[in-house]
Amino acid sequence: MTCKKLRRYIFVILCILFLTGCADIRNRASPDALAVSGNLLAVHISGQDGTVTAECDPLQFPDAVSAAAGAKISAGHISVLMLSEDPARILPAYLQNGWIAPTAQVISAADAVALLNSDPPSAEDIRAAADTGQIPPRTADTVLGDLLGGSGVTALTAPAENGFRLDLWDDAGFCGALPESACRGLALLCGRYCTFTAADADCCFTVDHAKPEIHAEMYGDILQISVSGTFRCGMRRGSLSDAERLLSTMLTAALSESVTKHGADLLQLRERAGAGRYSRTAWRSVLQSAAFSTDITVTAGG
Amino acid sequence: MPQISVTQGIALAVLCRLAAFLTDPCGYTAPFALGTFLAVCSQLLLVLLLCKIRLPQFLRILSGAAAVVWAGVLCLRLHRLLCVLHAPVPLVTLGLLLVTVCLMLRHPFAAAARTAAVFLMLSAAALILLPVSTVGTAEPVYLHMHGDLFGGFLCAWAISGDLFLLVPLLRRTKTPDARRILTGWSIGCGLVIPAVILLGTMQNGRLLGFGGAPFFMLLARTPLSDALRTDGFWLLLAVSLTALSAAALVQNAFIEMRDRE
Repeated sequence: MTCKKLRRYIFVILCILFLTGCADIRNRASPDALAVSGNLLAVHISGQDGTVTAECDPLQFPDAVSAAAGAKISAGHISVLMLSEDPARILPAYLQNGWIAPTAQVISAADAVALLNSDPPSAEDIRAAADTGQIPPRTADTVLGDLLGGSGVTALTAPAENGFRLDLWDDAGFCGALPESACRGLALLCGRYCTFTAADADCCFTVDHAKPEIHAEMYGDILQISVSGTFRCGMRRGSLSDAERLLSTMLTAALSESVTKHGADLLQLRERAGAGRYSRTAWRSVLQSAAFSTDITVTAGG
Repeated sequence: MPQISVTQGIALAVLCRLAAFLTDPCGYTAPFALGTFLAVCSQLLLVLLLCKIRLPQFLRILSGAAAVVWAGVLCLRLHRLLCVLHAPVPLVTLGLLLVTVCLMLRHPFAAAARTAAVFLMLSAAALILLPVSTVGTAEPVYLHMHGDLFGGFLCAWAISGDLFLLVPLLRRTKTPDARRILTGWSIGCGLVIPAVILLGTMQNGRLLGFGGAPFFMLLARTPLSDALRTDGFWLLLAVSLTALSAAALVQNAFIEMRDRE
């Protein structure tokens, strides 16, 4: 290779190295948790103690926080977003601009900034709750999907006394919280848990293998939902009929609380029923007047 | 007239389509995948027809000009993608891309073909890994979603500028090799790309077209890339494929002009 050619290639390589936009990476702050409460924003920056607070429109997030933190913000690595706000106002812009990853955990809190400043749950805590079947996984893309393509009602993870629960939000704001049994029923139906242990006064068991099937069918404007399937349970205490009763209670609570009471479509019922023609409001009404049934079989496992 | 192998021919044609597909903003649905498949079937018939008949000279010039225009369109689509993904300094990246294309144009067409063969292997390996990493989060129920079949058909036609490369390439290649190239192109564009669309549908069914970069939205759901900006491999591949395709399209157009003379 001649010296002239070599110089040309070195020039191109140097251009690539200097123009990557990563030169100022050391001066950037990378937040891992963000709380939005009205016009008050708070971020926790990776590797730093305490939080940085800014008062501004939440849609001006990076500029305002950059000014408050005194360093450029490298968004996109936020793994937990805490909201006291309508998620429909915040999430589309945040995802569109790449300020949060679609797999970020979204948490609902009465005062998100106070939660971030006190004892905020980590993304790992929430994932662990989903892995043990306490709640179904509720990441940013799932939440936004419910708002855009479901019935306009979505569920956000919320800290509870003994772990986590789900809070429901619609266009008008917070519209209710799901009880523990409904959250566990939804986790069962979503099937994304690793281990599922349930207990009450009469029984204690672990679900070894579950194959719940959700059927949704439209009869005119009436939606009929039926849940069936076989659950193989390893019994520690109580009988199989006790386990069947407890699982049925969870599944019924999931459907009655989320679907018929609040009109939330967290189980892709619109797609299952092929009901793409309904508007979000109309679909919510259809869900609220839906009929459902559960028919499960419990067998003994290891 | 430059001679290239079957693999190199397939690589050039498929990667040119893949470059356009990676930068495509059309949202993924199952009918969209079917529309893409049908579009490739219709394109296959058109290619067979164009290879059989003798094209008038003005059509060959027009095809060459269209290839150069498509090379420019590919670069603009990449710039749009870089903006959508908030990549740093997209204009500078575009400038570097154009420098790369100019450097590639100084080399013979066979060099682009050899590079394409390497990139084809790389892309194939990455595409094989994709379903493995997305299997845990896929929701097959989204395949039942309503969608626009005709829209998918039109979108697939809108990214079919690779035909300006494929048809002259086939016309210059011996018949058995041409058949193999066409078969490879049909599998790549008619089966693999619709399969990726179906995979994307199962990942982000309810976020139809959200974000303007459905392929990168699909990647964002995979466990291998928990944050948006770790999709570096695919973004780098998109840049490389665009540079390679643009250079191949322009070189091919020049070859066509030279042959005419």
